[in-house]
Amino acid sequence: MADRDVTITEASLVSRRAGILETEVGGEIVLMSVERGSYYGLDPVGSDIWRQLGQPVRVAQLCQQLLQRYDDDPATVLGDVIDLLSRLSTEGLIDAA
Amino acid sequence: MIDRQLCGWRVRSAIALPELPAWPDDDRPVDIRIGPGAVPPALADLLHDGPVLQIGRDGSCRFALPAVGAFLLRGGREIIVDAAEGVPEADLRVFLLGSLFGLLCHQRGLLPLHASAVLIDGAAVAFTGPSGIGKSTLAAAFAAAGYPVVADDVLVVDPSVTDRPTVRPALLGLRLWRQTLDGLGMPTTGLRPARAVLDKFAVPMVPAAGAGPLPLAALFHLEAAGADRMAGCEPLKGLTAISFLRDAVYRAVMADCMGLTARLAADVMRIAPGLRLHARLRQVPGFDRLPASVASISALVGEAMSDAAR
Repeated sequence: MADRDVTITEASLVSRRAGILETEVGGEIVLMSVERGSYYGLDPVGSDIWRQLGQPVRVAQLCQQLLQRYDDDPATVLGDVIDLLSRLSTEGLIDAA
Repeated sequence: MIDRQLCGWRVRSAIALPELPAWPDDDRPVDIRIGPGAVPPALADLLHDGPVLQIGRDGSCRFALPAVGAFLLRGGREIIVDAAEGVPEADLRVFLLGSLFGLLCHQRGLLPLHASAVLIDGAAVAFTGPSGIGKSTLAAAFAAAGYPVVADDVLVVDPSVTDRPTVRPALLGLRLWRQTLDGLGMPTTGLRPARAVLDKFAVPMVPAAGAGPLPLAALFHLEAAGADRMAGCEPLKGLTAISFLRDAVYRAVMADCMGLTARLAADVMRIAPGLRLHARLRQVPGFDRLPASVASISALVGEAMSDAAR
């Protein structure tokens, strides 16, 4: 199944896609879409973001939560988050609306 | 001929399998039968068709090598052996306890790893890596230091045990090259050749106590250290840990041909987080270094176990 390219913005509502396998080894999360059969690894920050996608969340709100944990420039955080979420969406690992 | 035990199964084989412990005299039904018979030149209704391996849609596997013979594996419970003219039993054994064993594990939903393993403080510690890197040699060095051997070349993980990685001990002995035995100062007198055409011997070892399941505490991926690569131990995490474990699956290409790719991937994801110690281990080659390796590996394992207990 090919995913339509969804453009992710601050206003997007994102959540983990159902049926994605996940595991955590040494603090880093690895995902697998059974449908595609390939692994996808997240770094520690990416793992942290994934943990917050259990319930649908607005990208803006997700960035707010991250800014409370990581001392960084809001525009940089937004850019990095959108970048990661776009890749996860392309890999079929999250739903975005 | 007496029945043998392999990974907790009762095996009745017309081909002698002296590597395996005898089955205790009880009334458990036979799990796996191995015997001579005619193997058809091709399976019908194929899922996979290769020169060596054919897989039927019903899951049966036909494995054949011209100079050895053809094997037909059905339902994870029956192996029919159609041996080529004049093939010594030792050669048939190599494949029965190698590729056929691997296929059998995959058919039965177990996860075989390309690894040798020893018992340290009640838990299995496994060594994987490419052929020739020294998995069996390292296990032999541990055996020489008094540690029981859990498996040689194929280590069977039972993914149905979900609370911690668990293995089923398999073989009694190690298969070692003559030069390895010489290097370890072990005599070759009285040993059976592991295969007629190879200068390799089946060496009986002290088995891990009982044949019951054991926790798998550690998995080391062996690599050779060299001028450009320092010796050392590098713990694995995240995607690297998962990929290394996936690459350590025994006969993984065959399992892919059997249509088991997704199940394998899921098993690997379930098992990796439970390893107390999962690392790349780079060692300087050389028999004289083995005692030091045994000491440093058992220390690493001891540390990981006490960290986990804390």
